[in-house]
Amino acid sequence: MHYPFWYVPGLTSPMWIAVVAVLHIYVAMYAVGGSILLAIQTRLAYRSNDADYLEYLRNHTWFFVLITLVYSSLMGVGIWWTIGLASPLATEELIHVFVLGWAMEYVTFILEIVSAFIFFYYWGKLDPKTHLRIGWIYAGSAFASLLIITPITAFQLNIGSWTPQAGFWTAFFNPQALPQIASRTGGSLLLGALYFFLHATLKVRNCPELCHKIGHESSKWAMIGAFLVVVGGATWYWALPPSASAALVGAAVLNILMFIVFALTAATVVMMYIGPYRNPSWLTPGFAILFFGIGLAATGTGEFIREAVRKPYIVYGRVLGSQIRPEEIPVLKREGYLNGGVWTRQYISVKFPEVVSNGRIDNSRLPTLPLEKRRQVGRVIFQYHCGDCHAVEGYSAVAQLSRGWNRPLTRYTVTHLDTVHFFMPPWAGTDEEAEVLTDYLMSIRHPYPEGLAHAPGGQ
Amino acid sequence: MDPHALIPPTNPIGYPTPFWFIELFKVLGFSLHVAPMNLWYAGTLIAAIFGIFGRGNAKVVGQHVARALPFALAIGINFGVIPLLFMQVAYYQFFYPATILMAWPWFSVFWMVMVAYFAVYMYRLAIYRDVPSRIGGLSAWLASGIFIIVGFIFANAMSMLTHTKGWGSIFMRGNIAGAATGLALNTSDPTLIPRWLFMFGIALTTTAAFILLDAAFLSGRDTDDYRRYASRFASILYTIGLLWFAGIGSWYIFGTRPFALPLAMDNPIMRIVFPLTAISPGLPWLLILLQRKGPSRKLAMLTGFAQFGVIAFNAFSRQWLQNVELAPYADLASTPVHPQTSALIVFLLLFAIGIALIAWMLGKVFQANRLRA
Repeated sequence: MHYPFWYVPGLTSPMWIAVVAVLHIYVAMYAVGGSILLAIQTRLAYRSNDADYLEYLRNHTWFFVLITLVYSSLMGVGIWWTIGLASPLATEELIHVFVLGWAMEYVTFILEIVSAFIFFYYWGKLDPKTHLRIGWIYAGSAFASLLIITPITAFQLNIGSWTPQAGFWTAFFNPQALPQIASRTGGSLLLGALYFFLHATLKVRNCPELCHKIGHESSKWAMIGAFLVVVGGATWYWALPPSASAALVGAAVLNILMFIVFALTAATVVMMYIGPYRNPSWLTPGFAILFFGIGLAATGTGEFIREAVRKPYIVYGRVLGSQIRPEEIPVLKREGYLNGGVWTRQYISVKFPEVVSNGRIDNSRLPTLPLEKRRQVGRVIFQYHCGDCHAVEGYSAVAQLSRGWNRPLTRYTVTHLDTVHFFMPPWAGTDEEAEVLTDYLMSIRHPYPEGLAHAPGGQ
Repeated sequence: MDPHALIPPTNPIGYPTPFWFIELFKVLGFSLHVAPMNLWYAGTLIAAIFGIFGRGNAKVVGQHVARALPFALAIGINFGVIPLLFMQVAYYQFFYPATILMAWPWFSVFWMVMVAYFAVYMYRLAIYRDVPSRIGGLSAWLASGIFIIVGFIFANAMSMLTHTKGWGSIFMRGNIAGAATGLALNTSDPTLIPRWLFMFGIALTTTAAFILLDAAFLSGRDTDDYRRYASRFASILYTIGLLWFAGIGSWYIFGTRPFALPLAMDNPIMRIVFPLTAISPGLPWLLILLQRKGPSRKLAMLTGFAQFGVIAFNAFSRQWLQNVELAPYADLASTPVHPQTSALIVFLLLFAIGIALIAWMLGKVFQANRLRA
């Protein structure tokens, strides 16, 4: 409400963040894990002077450069675009705490680009020692970028003892930093190996020995990665703030998703051990595609859980899902949510001048509006107060969630959001605003499903 | 709507470094971004026209530009994030509302650039005959079209940022129940078109400077005849860019920002920088003219530095003008500073290590090139 809200029908604008972030992470993890595996295997190939292995790795590097430098770097930039549009207050908060951290990360990105290009385009043109060193510079800078960005995203989930007076490092070394570094490093190695399997089985023909080498070497690191994922996941749970762990335990869908992540990771480890590690000849394109699909599913699910448990905050303790700061709530309850918002105040002033007095919205005049206008004002409150997490129809649809609710229940829920669901932000408006929001919600809610014998109130 | 009433409250955390440091890195980062970005902005079009329709040396010029595009894209995109970061620290009150009002076009930028990036690779592959030339040609046109559209969207966003007077009416025209539809463009702002075209003029001059640098340093396997042709081509292209720069720059400053010159003359620094910005392309132009019969490595290197100077002067003057335009709405320089000294030291250390490592890697590359030659 400090900023205009971007209306994305059906999806809600913050869901774009989830879409872009997951699409980015699928390749960003490969950029880290794949670069480490490339450096390790190139060293192995040079040491054994294996020309086929080196040729394969050169081929893989081309694929790697194309995917990570084009797709991943642009999706990384895309996250910046998306968070600024869909969640500006939280972005404003994070950038003021971490701009120097991000600046450090971009130094590593430039290093990654230069080293990756030289590693590929000067393959065979540099002496092996120098070439390998450049490969390690790439792997080192990719891993450094993970070390820098992960604590920043972890801060959103648990700010620990940080206050605006505390320094950068208090924010950086938050309780979630190490667990998430462990799980992200593990995930990167795991996903990196799966990319290797996929690429090798599709590219290498009639050379079982080479496939054996790639499969065996990659799976060894992937299993180490899986171990790190489990350790990171367990410590992540341990370092969650109480509301996040309560959300994780309390929401059936998150229970199931957690189980799926751990089951998929365990299945990958077992399959990896029995398959590519012990019996590399089992590695076929079909097997690799299956592996790859499982890896993407586990990664995407893990990211979803990580985001979902943060509610009711976007930045824990600092910015609520309703795009306000917690300390603003008492003022907004007294003065009105619409009055507190820069853009809502201006919009109401232009569209409903009859409720404006001396440049401010007079809340006592809201109930005097005709019903249709009350609903329109209620919709404005809905857009800003609820629209971050709920569409009318579509994602987390309010029309569906309030199916069959009567007016007293709706009105009570509006003013007791955080009591009804602890993971929702508190109501931050006046009683009159709650009334007009209720008017709007009553106009969009679907009726109680037909055919239920116990339908309340004869609906 | 009163534009002052649309400016959001200031962030209570304050700046992590002094304002001048934010400005310095914003301008430096922007200059570093613009240099390669210019190459894709105008260079892709040059590569498409001459690489596809050119014959003999003209075709080779197009192919040489195309050859450099993937790296220019990778490095340019990442350099672009640095000014974006520092802009969000100091100019968030203007940047977020401006981009949200035009959310869909702004959101489309990175998707479009991704398509253009893959298209540039396809074109490059076509030059080496790894994909059919027809696909390569189509890819080149697609990429150059996208870059011109993306340039237009950027001109919209950056002009919208300072067009606070227009925000209210743009918002009221494009909202659903008070939430922005994000479909607006800043077409009511008279600065939009000259800003967009002005950047293309600078991009033409940078592309010309690159063609000369390429002929001097990266065309070891080409003939002397090609190098002479490339130098002559660069001098013609730079002259066109220079005329464009002068014409559109005059339209922008005298036609849409008449207050800028008198204000600059009242400012002791801008009194020097503003005229220097206007005449700065003169130096690389003269250097290129001196080499029109063939490139000299020393002069080409000087041309490169001089062209970077053109970009940096422009970035500095743009920044000053942006601050002047926003001054009635927020006193950006007076925001409290809560210095993050140790983090700043780590960043500067990492920055130095990064530069050292890049210098080492490039040294190895030049060494390898020399050995091969």
